[in-house]
Amino acid sequence: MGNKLLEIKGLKVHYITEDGTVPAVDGIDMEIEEGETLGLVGETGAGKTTTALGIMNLVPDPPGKIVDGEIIFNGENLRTKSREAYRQIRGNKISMIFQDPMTSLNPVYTVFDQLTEVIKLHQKVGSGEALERAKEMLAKVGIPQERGEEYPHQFSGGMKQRVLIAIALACNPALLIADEPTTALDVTIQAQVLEVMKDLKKQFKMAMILITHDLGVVSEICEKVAIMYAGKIVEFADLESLFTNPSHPYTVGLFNSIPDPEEDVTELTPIKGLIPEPTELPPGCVFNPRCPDVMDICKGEFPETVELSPTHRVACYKYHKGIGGENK
Amino acid sequence: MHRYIIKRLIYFIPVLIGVSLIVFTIMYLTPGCPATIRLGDQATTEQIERMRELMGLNRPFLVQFGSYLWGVVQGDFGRSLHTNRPVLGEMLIRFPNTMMLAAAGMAIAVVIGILVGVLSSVKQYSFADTIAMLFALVGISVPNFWFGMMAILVFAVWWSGAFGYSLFPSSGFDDGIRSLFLPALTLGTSSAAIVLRMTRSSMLEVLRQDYIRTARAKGLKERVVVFKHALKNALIPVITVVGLQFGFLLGGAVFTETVFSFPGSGRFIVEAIRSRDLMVVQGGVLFLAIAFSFINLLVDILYGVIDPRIRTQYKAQRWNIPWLRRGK
Ligand SMILES: Nc1ncnc2c1ncn2[C@@H]1O[C@H](COP(=O)(O)OP(=O)(O)OP(=O)(O)O)[C@@H](O)[C@H]1O
Ligand SMILES: [Mg+2]
Repeated sequence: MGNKLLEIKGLKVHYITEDGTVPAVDGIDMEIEEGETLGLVGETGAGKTTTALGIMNLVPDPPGKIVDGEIIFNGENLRTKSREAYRQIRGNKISMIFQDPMTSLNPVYTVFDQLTEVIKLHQKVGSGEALERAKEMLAKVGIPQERGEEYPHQFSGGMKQRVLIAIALACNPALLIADEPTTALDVTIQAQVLEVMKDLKKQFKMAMILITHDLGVVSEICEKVAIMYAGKIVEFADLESLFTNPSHPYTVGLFNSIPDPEEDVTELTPIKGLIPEPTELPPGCVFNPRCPDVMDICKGEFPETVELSPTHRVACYKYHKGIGGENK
Repeated sequence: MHRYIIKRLIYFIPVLIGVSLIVFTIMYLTPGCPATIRLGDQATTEQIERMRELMGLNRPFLVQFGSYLWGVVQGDFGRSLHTNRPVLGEMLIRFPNTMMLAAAGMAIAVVIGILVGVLSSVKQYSFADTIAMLFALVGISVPNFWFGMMAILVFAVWWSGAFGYSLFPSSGFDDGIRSLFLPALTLGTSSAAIVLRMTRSSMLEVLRQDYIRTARAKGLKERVVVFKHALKNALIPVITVVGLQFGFLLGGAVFTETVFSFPGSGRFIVEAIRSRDLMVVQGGVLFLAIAFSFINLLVDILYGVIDPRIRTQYKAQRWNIPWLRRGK
């Protein structure tokens, strides 16, 4: 640990649509060390999936475009890579699991076909060898080997997600991006799938970006957390300082909107207002219309990021010297 | 898969009876008495009456149909009113030519339709796509026979006028493949247009699916994504269209064969219509209808080959006929 695996600098991904430009990801910075798990948290439409697709270079074009920024993986800027070179990384060094397992497997090929395909592609092994490895992978995610002959429609949602995990991990990637891997599943299955992922993450010693809405899951699995809102990362911290010292008003709002089992108060305080129209973001800080602590300056420019500690930074004027109430 | 095929074959029986009934009824209702046609205009009323009795035309409709159907089952499609030769034999001599023509037309349609359709979908809204869609529009709107006459004009008349020899023969069947070319092209054009449209829209639909994104996330080459992962799924609706088009081609062969004086079963039927040989028309049309149903049967079976969901549906289903189940 301690080696930077992935560093994203000023990444911008925009969707150019008829209704205007959607700055789905608008200049984000983040970094992950080898073997580390980062939770990427935010409401729907915050740009989490787009960030992931940006890293994979799979943003649908049109309408999407990576407009700016650097994606540095193992010391190399992926944005300068050729398509061919990117292909060698995808599914091999960086893998991704998608939001909806029900539709993410090809209905006309068997599970073995889909699993061996990626092994043969990146590991340059023959069919027999690939099949052996496919069987191992299925065992690891808890699927009986003989079911590999079956087609996706014969599997339940939880099992499909396990298959997708097996596909993603088949080439032992250094980084796994899991986009809400359990949202589409039943609650009981969710826990099982998360358990499998936690387990395999340890076995494979890989880093992971876990995209989720669920701060509970984050507290269980992640070491770092990025809070995303309308295309910006508003707060980025290690798990402990985020949970003990949530600083951005949006993060505070998120914490207030989850029920706390230890308190009797059943009343929740959801964040007021709605997420803004993606084509008509407010000027200045994108959160200002909903922010309880809004100041005049918030309506001018988006705030610079401030470091509260080496592992905790936040983009909010409250923490700017000479502006905010609690000068840090 | 066996169950599926057997089930399809069993469904085939009522289809045949239905088709025969329709053809027989239409011919029954067609004005003109077969006995009169057979004997010619000079025949006396008594002669005609005797002939009607002989041909069984005085029996009730259902009895006539029953005995005709019974004959058909035994391979007796009736006899020509003029030559008294068996219709089945006459059809069987010419049908291979028609089949060859239809198959050649279909091959042209499938190759052009699917290839251009796939390219069109991959490069949606490009210049090439626009041209392809224009071709599709023209191909669908222009009637076959007009296209045939234009083809004769260009390739046979103008070409031989300008260069002193004809590039492709415009009639007959003496030059093998070369004489097949113009009629097949004529016949295949509109089907190519329809297959193209279907392939394009089906591909556009499939390319948006999550499993295509999974395939890309594996790092597969775009070519593999398109032809292995997308096309196989996109072909499912295309197969239906191809099957139906084949029937249409058998029908279209009637015109095309006439325009190109091609010695097939279509032209045979057209000549029979001209000479009011009702028995040949009836037997010939029934023959083509059966051929068409048979092709549809093959298409149904092809579905099962491509789409595992159909296959396993039948595997899981138990026959509810006890003696069949014991056999298994
Ligand atoms: N293909 C697209 N075309 C146009 N706009 C898009 C497209 N995909 C996403 N967007 C827009 O980009 C923004 C971010 O979308 P994204 O899918 O990244 O959000 P998300 O954080 O993953 O949300 P969710 O939690 O619902 O998955 C949204 O405003 C969305 O409407
Ligand atoms: Mg998403």
